[in-house]
Amino acid sequence: MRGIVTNELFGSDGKLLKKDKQPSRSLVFGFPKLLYTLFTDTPWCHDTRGTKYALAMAAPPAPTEISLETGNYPWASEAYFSGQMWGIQISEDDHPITPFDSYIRGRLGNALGFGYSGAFRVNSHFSRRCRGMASDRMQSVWHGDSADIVRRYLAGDDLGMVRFGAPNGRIPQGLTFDGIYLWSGNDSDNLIHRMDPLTGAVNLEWASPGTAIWGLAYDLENDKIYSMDNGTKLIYRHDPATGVVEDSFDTALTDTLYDMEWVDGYLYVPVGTTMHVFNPATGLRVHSFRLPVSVRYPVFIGPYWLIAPPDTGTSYESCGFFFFPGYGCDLPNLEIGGNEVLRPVIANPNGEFTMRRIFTNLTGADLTIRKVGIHSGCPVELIAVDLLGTPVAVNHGQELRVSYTFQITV
Amino acid sequence: MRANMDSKMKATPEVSVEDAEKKVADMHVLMQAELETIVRSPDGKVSHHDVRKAESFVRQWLELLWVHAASLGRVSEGYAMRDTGNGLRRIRTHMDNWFLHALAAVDTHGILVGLGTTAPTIDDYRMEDQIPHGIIHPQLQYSDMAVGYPGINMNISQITITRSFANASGSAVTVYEIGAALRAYDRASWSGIVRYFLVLRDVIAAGIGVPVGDTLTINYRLQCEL
Repeated sequence: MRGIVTNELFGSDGKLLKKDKQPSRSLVFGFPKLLYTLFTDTPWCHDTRGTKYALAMAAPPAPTEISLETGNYPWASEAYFSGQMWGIQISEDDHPITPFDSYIRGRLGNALGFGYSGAFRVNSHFSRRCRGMASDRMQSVWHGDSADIVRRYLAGDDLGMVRFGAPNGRIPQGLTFDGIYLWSGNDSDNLIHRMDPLTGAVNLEWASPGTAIWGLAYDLENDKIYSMDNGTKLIYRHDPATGVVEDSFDTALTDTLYDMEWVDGYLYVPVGTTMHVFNPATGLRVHSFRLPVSVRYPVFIGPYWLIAPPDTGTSYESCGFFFFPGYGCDLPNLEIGGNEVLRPVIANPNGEFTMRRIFTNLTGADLTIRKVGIHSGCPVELIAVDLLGTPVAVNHGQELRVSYTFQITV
Repeated sequence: MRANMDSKMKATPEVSVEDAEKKVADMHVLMQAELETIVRSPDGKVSHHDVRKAESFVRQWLELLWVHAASLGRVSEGYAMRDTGNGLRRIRTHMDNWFLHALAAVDTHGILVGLGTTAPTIDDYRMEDQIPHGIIHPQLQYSDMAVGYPGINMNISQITITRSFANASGSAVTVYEIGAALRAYDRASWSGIVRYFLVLRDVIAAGIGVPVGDTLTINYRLQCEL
């Protein structure tokens, strides 16, 4: 199977200004992951929408919401998706592409749209609270279950789960993953532990200066651990090898701070139905935006977030996934058209079909598009991403139409 | 594994409208199937081992991908696809489509083997001469399907599907065609009717001999390579 990416730039008068085509090089890990779910009929958290919509790419214009039918369990009853979740995506990012890519950094989104399914019952096999979550952003998620930590796959619920006791038998209030090790912190002793992500064997421990550590995050770019103190509302930056505090800043928030997540240079701290975004380099809060539900424990998994809302007061705590534009992806005046998926054309020995989407730049600024890709699935996955051979400057008022064509030849 | 990109194409990325069509002439393979075949005797001795590029995603692969990409839902009439029984079926999205994790002795879907030698075409909808499950020559015993969790390295992400075929037929069997079929639901009834659709078909011109008592193991690796 081959792929072609086409981009066409139109002026404000509709005139075609430029057209370029290139081979699509990159089906990333999300695609075989979805195939696994489909081939084995094992949707994540046993929600049948996970298979029915696994390859869904057609979408109405953003921020139109798509209402999905009720899931097969009562707690999966609410679901709606923003039109921008599925289909072709664009970004100004120019980072090299790897098969590990699970999201498009700096995806240009329309802040008016959310996608939400509330809630997949992540800990459906358990009866205790889910606190603290971490992810490798590709295959696995770890979450607390009382004083245990559970690892599970993000595709294929038949694969079983790994369960081990949290360090010192304490309920993990914060979890994060550094690519090799899992880190856990709690507010009982303010110790932070580094452990084997499959066995829970602790191989490093250091104390945080905090009074109530309720959140951990890992900076993938600079190899730093952040811990958040709910007592003082400070966030500390640590050398992960020693725990030495290198920097700290005051969030100036007064609410209870449960957990946080690091994504692409920013720390995301949820407070109720508001997500606060901090630049840890300056300690400044640079952005805040509304969340569709109240959130305590957020973890960024790829194109979407897995969240745990406040305790429900019942015998379990459910988790949902949702999708929102992150900081830097918040362009309310970027018009995102529907993602059209055109019918196949097949004539031996070739067959193909094309999908396409129009982006209209009404942001008042000029954009330079360097990367395009495709979102698909429920929860949404990045399945393809390509760097454009020639970046496309899309000035205010101009339209960019991006097309993907999939071809087979026998 | 993949077509080489034209270096000139890399050097001249900006093209006019007229030139755009020429640019993709030498195109990168986005995903391909690698076909591995192994014949082992009961004592584990390998008498055959071959790895080759699979030739043939047939039209049903593309069509089913399109049905789901386009989200043809309940209100849709569905898309007409030809099943392995040569019936045109109206297919739409369904939570149980794409399933190939067949059980042992089930020869309707999953990896299939046959005796056909005609070169594949995109319109192939069934195995030319499928070998059924069984112990009467030339039947082979179909194992259950195995679907490996996707693997990944710096260049490739892939998923491997596997099935074994044991020869208890009393005579040697030579396999010439290998394919794979998926399940999808015909919208002819409200809940749907199970149908099977061929998505891959390959012909091994030299054949693969499976002596009595031996087992042929087939791995299809669907690979996405940067």
